[in-house]
Amino acid sequence: MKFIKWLTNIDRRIIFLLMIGAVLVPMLFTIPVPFEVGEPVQNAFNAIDSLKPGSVIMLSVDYDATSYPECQPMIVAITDHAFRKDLRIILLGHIPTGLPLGQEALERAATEYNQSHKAEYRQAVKHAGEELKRHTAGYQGSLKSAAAEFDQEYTPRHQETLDGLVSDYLEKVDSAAVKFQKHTFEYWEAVKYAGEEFNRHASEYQKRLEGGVREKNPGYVRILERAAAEYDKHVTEYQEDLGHAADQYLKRYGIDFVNLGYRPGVVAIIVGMGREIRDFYRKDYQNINVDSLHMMADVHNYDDIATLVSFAHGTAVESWIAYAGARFGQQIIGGVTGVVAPDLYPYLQSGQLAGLLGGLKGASEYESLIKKKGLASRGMPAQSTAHILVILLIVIGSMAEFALDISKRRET
Amino acid sequence: MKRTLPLIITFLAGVFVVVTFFIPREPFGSLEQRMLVWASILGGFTLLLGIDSLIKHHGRKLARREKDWFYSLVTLLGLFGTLAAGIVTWAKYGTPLELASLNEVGGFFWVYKWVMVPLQGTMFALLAFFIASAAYRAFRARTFDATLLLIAAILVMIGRLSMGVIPATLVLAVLLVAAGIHRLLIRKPVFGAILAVLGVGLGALVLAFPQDAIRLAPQVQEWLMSVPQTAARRGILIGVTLGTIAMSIRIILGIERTYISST
Amino acid sequence: MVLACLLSVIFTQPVATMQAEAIQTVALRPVANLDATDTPNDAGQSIDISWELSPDSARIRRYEVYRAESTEGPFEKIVEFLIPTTSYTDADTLLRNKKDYYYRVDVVGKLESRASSKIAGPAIAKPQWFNRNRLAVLVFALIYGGLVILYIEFAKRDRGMFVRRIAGLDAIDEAVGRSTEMGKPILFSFGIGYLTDVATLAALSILRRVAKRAAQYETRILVPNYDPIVMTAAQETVKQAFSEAGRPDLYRESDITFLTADQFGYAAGVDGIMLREKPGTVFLQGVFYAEALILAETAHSVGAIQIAGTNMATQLPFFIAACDYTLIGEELFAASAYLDRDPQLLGSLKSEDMAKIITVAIIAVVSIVGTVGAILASVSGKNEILLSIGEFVNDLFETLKGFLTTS
Repeated sequence: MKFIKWLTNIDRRIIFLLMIGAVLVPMLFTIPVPFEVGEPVQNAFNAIDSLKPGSVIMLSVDYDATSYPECQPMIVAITDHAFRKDLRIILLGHIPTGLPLGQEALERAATEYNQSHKAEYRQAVKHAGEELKRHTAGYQGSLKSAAAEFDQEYTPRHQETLDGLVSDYLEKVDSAAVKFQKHTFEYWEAVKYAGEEFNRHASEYQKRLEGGVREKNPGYVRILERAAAEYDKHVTEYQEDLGHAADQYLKRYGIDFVNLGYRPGVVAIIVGMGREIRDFYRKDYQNINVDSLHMMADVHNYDDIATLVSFAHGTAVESWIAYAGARFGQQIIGGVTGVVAPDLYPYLQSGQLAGLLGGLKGASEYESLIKKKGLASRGMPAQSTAHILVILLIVIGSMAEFALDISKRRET
Repeated sequence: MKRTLPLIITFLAGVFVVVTFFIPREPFGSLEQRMLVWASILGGFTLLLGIDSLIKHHGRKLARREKDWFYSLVTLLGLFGTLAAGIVTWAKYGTPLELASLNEVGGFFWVYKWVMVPLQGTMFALLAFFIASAAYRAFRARTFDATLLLIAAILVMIGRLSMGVIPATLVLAVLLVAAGIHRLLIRKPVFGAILAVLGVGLGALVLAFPQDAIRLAPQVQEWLMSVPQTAARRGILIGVTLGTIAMSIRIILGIERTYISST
Repeated sequence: MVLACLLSVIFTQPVATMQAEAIQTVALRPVANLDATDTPNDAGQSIDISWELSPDSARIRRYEVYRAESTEGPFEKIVEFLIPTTSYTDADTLLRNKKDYYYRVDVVGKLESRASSKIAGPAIAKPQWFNRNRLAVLVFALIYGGLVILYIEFAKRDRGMFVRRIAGLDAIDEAVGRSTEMGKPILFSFGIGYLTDVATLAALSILRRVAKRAAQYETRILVPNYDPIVMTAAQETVKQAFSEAGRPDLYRESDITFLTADQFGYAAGVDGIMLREKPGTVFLQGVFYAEALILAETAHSVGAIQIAGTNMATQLPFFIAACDYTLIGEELFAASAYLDRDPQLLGSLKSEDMAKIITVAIIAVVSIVGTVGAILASVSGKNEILLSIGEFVNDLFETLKGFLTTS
């Protein structure tokens, strides 16, 4: 009986300990949990999955750190999905303290994408390097044969030409390296490699030339120059190949994603962007001019944006729907906390929202659709065990009270 | 005069804003927006008042070495430290809200990321523990209302489970049967019989059609949330809104005077 | 052979000309019924333009809208559409100059063939004095305002106006007494509201009552604050209450402090105060968000009784589950009327109830009309009478809905 009495009044500290266990254990031992994906999330996924590569999507960070557990997995999953589909991302937000979180998600997605495509990128770069090597050999070959044909003497003029070509080449390579920024550390390696190779070939050739080639015939000079021009072309091709490899296998800031930062004034901005984004965002979050960002060249207003996703823990999604959706026909997807989600169901039903991710459950459903388990999927079993614990506590408490009540009445 | 002047200002401002709501013509149409901007500017200055109070209070505790003076020191260090971080970032980038300061030690957003975010997250996480202890304490099936509340709460929780739906529903069924027996024993046969039958029925259905139960559970939860809950919430909202209007009318007309020091 | 050649020569030329004429004669037809009027209910800088599509829509590549200050022109193009459109709102700030403007819509087809509509105008963008869309709000405001004044008059005459018991407010004196007996202080929190929130104002009147009792029983009262303005209002209120109770010497300004303007920072601060000072009674009155449950549970853990009151519908369930007494929504607003029994305040309370009844009646009537209309529409079939009743009911519903919804 004392036990039953104790059950009606369990010390809250024991309850807290049980709760810690209920949340930690499933997170430490990841339990695969099958569940069905709801329609709102499926619609959101389809909306993004059906976009053509190169389409632009806009992500709006309208939550802050307090909603990190629910909203961050959503933005992480969607940026992953977007990069996978080769979509271009514009990030902005109406809550200044939430933007660092959005930036974090974007950088992380880009880094992961680059890491996972590192092998292919390296392969493409190596291939481009081999092409260049082949052409280098060809250049050397034609110089050698010309020298042999004209039985020329080696003069300082040849030295100048060769030097000129070498420094020219290195200059081009350097400028290309500056163009591709920090995400392409492999590029530096490749460039270094190509440069070393060229130097090696050039110095070998120099030595051979020194061994007795004389200039006697202007035709020889012409051949030299023509071969040099050929080589120039191959160097340019090499750089283009590197560029294409980067385009294909790397996600770089300014080219595949931009962060426009925070501007105050929610409704004014949402409405104003229907005309021209640059009216409000002339510089990005690092104060770089928006027009110098490659990606923004053909993006001016909602007509150029395929889909907009608003991650919110308040009423931001309704603002987007009312001003961007209703007035400019912009397609909107919502990614909101569990508390706010029910308020948005009417918009789903009326078609004003193309999809909705609600709470941790919505985030984990999306993660299962993109087949990449993240924080949300790890958290869902924990959410379930916590729920089950609360249900058990309530039931035990009630039943113990029944027993107590009956025994009390029996005594009287 | 000290008493009536605030009342006059309140009356004029209140009537003015209400009237401009109906007049789209300039300058009235954009007046509401403008006044909101004024309000937020004023609000910014009032923060100085609060900081003054804070510094005085904790400064005094520190100076007099009162009980727990060390925590006052921590508070003041936190206040001035964050202020310093903001000023440094401002000097460097022209705005304290500079995202690049996220990665610099001592930058404003760095302080935010490594101090504010974890602390806020921790406080928010406390809710998980508190909801467990509050629910355990409060949801006892003592009366008819409480039993209804209990059943609704458990049904909503079951609807949000991603695993263990069947065992949880069985637990609910057992509770219903136990409640039914309890009621029968305390001479409330009708209520008891209903609960017991519900419990047995629920248990039987769930065991007989487990797949359907798993599929239906989220839908039951959604119905509960979108129909009865929304209806009740809207009712409260209407009541609160009408109360707010009445209160506002009282303030504008000067009948409600609690916000002025003298009644 | 020769004839064939002759014939071919004769017939090639005219056919070519006929083909050229064919391209020219089947001209595009322009849009019809172009109409330009002032946009209603605005600040006077937009004109609505509308038209009907041309029957040749399939051949039209784009629509261009032109504007000029007179019928002779010069017309300048202000916008163009690539998809079939039938309206446009010209919201150029230029229109503020109150001049007449004329509009024309051109359709452009293949090979830049063009057809212009008739010119519409003159149209002036005028500001309106009254926003008709908000008429329902004005009517309701006038009715409500009238009710308030009416019931205040009633209350002045009828001294014993009935107000039902509100448990949370009745328990205030008892709660303060309990704290005194235990020798513990009272804690009062406004939550995270500002002085502009009516809930905070209502809470101030409860604070006054609580502070007065506290002064009478010589119990300490702690008021940690989220907003500096609310803090100053609270300081004034408590000082006043202590003076009225005849104990101004007991007032300690250091008990009414500003903690921080951050939601969870405030919750942490109040929790700390509760755990250190161990109050006997905790009042949670005002505007609360997620920190509501944190405050309530911590209060319970130190053995305090809690009296909560808020208008935030999302936090009410937590308060009801965790606190001993909860003032729900407008029960909080009724506090000052209930505690003081001032006839003017009581009167406005009654008018609230009356307005609620009217609102419920309107909702019920419109819902029933809409439901009946929907049922009739789906069931009427071929029955003429039912059909026309159904149509009438649906029209009535739409009118009511249009009147009651505002923009």
